[in-house]
Amino acid sequence: MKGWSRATQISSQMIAQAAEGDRNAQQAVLESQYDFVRGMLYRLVGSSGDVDDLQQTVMLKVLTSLPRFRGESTLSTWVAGICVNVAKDHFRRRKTHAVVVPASEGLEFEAPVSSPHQQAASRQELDEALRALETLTPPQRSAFVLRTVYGHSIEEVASIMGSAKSTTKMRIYYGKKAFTQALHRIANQGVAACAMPLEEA
Amino acid sequence: MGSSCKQFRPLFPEHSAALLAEDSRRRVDAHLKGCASCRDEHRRVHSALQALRSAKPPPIADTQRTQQIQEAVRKAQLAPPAARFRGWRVPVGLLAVAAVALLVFVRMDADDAQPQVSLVAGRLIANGTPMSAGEAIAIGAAIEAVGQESSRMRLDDGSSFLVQARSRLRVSSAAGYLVMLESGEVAFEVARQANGRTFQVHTPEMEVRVVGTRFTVAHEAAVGTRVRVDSGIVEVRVGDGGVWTRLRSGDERLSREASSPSAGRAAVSRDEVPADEVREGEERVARARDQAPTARQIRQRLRTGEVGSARAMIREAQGRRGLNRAELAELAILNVEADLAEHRHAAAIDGYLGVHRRYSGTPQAETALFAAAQLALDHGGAARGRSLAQRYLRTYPRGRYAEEADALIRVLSRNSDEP
Repeated sequence: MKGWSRATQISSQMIAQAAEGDRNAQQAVLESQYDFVRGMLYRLVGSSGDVDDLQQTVMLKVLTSLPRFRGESTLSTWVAGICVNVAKDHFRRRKTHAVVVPASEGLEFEAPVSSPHQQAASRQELDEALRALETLTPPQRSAFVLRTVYGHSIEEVASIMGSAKSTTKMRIYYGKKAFTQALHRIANQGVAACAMPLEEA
Repeated sequence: MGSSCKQFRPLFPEHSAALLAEDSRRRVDAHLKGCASCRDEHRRVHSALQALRSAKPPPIADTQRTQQIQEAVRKAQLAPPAARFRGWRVPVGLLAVAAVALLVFVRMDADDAQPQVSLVAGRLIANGTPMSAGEAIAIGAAIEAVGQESSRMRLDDGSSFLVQARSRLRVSSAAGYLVMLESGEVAFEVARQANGRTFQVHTPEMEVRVVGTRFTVAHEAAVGTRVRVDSGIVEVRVGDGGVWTRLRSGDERLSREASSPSAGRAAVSRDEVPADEVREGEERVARARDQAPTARQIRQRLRTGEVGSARAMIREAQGRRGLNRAELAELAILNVEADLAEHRHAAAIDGYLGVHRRYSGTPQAETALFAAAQLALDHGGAARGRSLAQRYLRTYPRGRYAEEADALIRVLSRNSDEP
């Protein structure tokens, strides 16, 4: 995975300069994290129109909090924590975790798919995945995405989310369970919907 | 779907991401070989996760991207440093008392971005350089009081602030001055501000704004932020989304009281507080500062497995005179952590509940109850964990861990079958 899933590497010297307020370094840090932040926000909150605002919030928080980045994790892991907190605040403000906008609208794929048929199939899979994600609570969704999409260890997820390890394990477990159940349900609904006209005919 | 399918299906996402341990992966593989329905399910999960991993947001024009980045950089140059990352929410590990004190008096000037210092008494450093009269404070510079004594500085409008030893703050200026108190205690005396200008003090937990008054702000990681107004009026709120509350002369407010069920009583008139309690409050920061290294040392011993030695240090600390309830609660929690270090989980659960019972009203009591619920979940069974989480919510409906306790109860209630 790269690009939208992994941030570009940036030197620790550049990070230190950005932390001290060097504009060029700050710009370079944001450039390196831009796609990663955008991709993560889409996965955490869905493709609603709020993502642009949230991205702006995350970037500002990254810069103002950078003096406290101690290099104990990679910069992108630290930025992921900010994304999770911003997404959490977003859901708290909206008092809901349901994504209203059609989930996969506007999304593209990192590896180009070879045919329109494949593209349609991939889009349907993505749509189903995002709909299944909507059934998770925001903390479950964050923990699930960090673990199964970004491949973080449970300790890393706990650290990113600022939660106890036991709580994180619970969230991941119930996130996985809810996700697989929802996916099963959505797929069966799809089959039923396709079958209906035939039965009527 | 057989009972074993129900057991294996939640493992499919991690199996698909190659994150399962070797043993679990083999068991899933063996099950998939013999179960067609699970193979379908696994394929579906795998495709969905694959789609999620490779999906990317709609493209954005380079100009728009550059504009967004430049806008963030511009705002960051004006903004104060953000509040500290809320790692302290992790219940047990972050109870160490970190008490430092500082007192600040700042002046705001509508046209002057950098406050001018007219007097420095004591040892203050800004970004590592000693401060002296006649200098401007660089916006956002870390100001620290070094040495054993408090230091005072006065700004050229007559406002001044006193910084206690080992205190740390930053000063920024946008639509007014903003003092970011990272640790310590601050007693402010602020000159009346020009129209439209504000003077604010932020701590990791609380915000205070003022027009012209004298007040004290103290922040200790273990007990939160305390604001006391000596004269005039200030407004405070907890967190960046809280409601502003007006405090008048003699009022006091604690950040963690404000999020507890006693929120309505949080603004306490000084007249209602016994004199010895006020004095105790004045002395608490200094005592906590003395004790902080001890708590740290005890935890270090626990981490290195020297439990006996840690317990001896706890007993010694408990023998000190004049400890307040929060400090005693902290020591009791250290005792529980010693139980945990010895893997005595049942005793630790009881210990946390004992801390909650004996020291009700302290921040440690709240944390102890939630820690007991979490520990019970891991080592005492879901039923006890749920029951304790419910007890936590009944006791602290707006508590620091209410959201997590609520989520815990909901998932446990929805899924009676435990992992």
